[in-house]
Amino acid sequence: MIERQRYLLDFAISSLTRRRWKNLALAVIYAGMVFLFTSVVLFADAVRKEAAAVLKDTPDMVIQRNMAGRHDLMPLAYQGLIAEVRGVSDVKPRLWGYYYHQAAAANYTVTATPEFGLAENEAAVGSGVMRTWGTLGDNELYMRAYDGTPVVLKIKAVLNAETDLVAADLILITEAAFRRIFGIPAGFATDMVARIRNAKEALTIAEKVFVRLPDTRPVLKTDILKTYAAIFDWRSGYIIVQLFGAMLAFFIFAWDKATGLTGEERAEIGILKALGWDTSDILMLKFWEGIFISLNAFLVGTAAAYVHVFFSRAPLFEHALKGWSVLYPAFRLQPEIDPFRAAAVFALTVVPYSIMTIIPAWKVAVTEPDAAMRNI
Amino acid sequence: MITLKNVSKIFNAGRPNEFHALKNVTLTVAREKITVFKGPSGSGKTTLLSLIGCMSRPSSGRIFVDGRETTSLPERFLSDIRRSAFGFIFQNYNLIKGITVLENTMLPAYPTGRRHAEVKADAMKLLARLNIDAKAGQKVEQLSGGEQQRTAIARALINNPAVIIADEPTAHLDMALSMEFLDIVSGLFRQRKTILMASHDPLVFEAGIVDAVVEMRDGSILEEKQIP
Repeated sequence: MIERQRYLLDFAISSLTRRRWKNLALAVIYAGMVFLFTSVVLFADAVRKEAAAVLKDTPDMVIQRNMAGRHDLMPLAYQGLIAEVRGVSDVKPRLWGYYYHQAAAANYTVTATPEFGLAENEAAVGSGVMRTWGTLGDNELYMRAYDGTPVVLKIKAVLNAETDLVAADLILITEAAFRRIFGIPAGFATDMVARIRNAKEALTIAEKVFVRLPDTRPVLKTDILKTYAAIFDWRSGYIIVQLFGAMLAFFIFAWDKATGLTGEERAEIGILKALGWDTSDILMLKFWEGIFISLNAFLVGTAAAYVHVFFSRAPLFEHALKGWSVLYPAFRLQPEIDPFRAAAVFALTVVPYSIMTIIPAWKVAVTEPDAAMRNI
Repeated sequence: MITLKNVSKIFNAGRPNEFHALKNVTLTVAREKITVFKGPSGSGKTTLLSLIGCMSRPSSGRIFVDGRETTSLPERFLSDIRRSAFGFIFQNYNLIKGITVLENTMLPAYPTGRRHAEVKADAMKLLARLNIDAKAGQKVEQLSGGEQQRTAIARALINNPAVIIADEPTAHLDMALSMEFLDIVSGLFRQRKTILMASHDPLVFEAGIVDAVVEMRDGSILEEKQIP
């Protein structure tokens, strides 16, 4: 039995070699398709995981104040009112905003922080700022305050590249510098963050905060994670929809190439049948041919996608998947393949192709050898 | 013994181009003899050999091979019979292009699952017997007509069948090669093979080695002649 399969596999490889250009073209296009499809899946997965890893330190609840449906500054007096809600702890005001830098034509996120031991004229920045600011001289950022006065900040530290996904465009400064640049009066913060002791109570606590401070909007950590996931899902879904057309074209091409048996191929099946090959032998032969092409294309396509996403930073569609402004985080994704996803791509590519190649061979194989050979 | 009872074969039945290739043929072919079917093109010789060799089924009638009816057998049994009982030498040889003489010779043995080394040794022996072993590694399209035919003969013999069927074996051969072929047939006959040939070449049906000649025309048998 094993010897028989070996013969069939040998003959399948020999058949593929005899029609090498047709099969090579098919395998290259096939591998390209798997490459594109797998790249999107790997990329979206990795970015989602990256985001989740970075956001795991996100506060349990962010409380914003709204006025006329717009985000408004929050009085620091709210800090004590929120802290009084049972289950809430560690309420802290935050100062953050966006700074538009004309030279780079980009928006940067500016946040006040007590960390990094910054002096009022110092800043810690994300790697994207270093790449794009454009007019860095002596490691200094030249900014313009809300009233038009110039502000010069010395760059004290560059943030760790691991947090690039959310910190590429980040400029960290002291509270005093922040208030000077943006003109936010003392006694006000941009929003507040809080810890929630029991995550299961989060929704109830958010409702209590809203009841106590009706002009606020509490945003829970789960909502933030969901939003990030939705953004990446949407982006990857969008690309997959675009790829769907390409996949369809591929399957039409594959159908034509793999299933349109030439007169010579039909005659060959007839000859093999006449020589005593059974229909099942022919089907097994065609199955091995299909598996050989599709498996190789799958492996090559997947390996290329892996290199593309994890070692070359996915140049083909990073702009579509990663960026949300002119600033694109430059970070290296952690190599990882979800076996379930790989199995899904395998099932969507290898299985249909293998079936496609067997059906026409079966149609010929069930005809009488005499009739099949007359195709010569 | 191979027996045909009222065998008819109709191609494209029910269509405007319906064609009666065989009409009520009843015939008995003796074992271990050389039988030649002669007649002009379209007389039904090839169709008859194809039916005997289980490569197609008759539209009506029954065929028996050594007392076993083959016409009603399912396809997988017919494959088995084609593989083990018959060896075919087709008019155009029907070798598979792009593979070697040796691989072509071994092809009918693949479904048997016999050990590769064993089949290869048998194939080399056959090729040597037919004096073409030197070309075993060559692709068949690089061979001359005579060499292709010898490859086809080796392939027909690889599973050691009892019956050899040859369709117009000398159609593409010159006189010398035709005589060489008849020599090979004579050798096979001495090995007690049953040989059925279709030919309209007098060199074949008038050859001294032939035991019986069946003359055909328009799908029917005109005359059966046993040669003493």
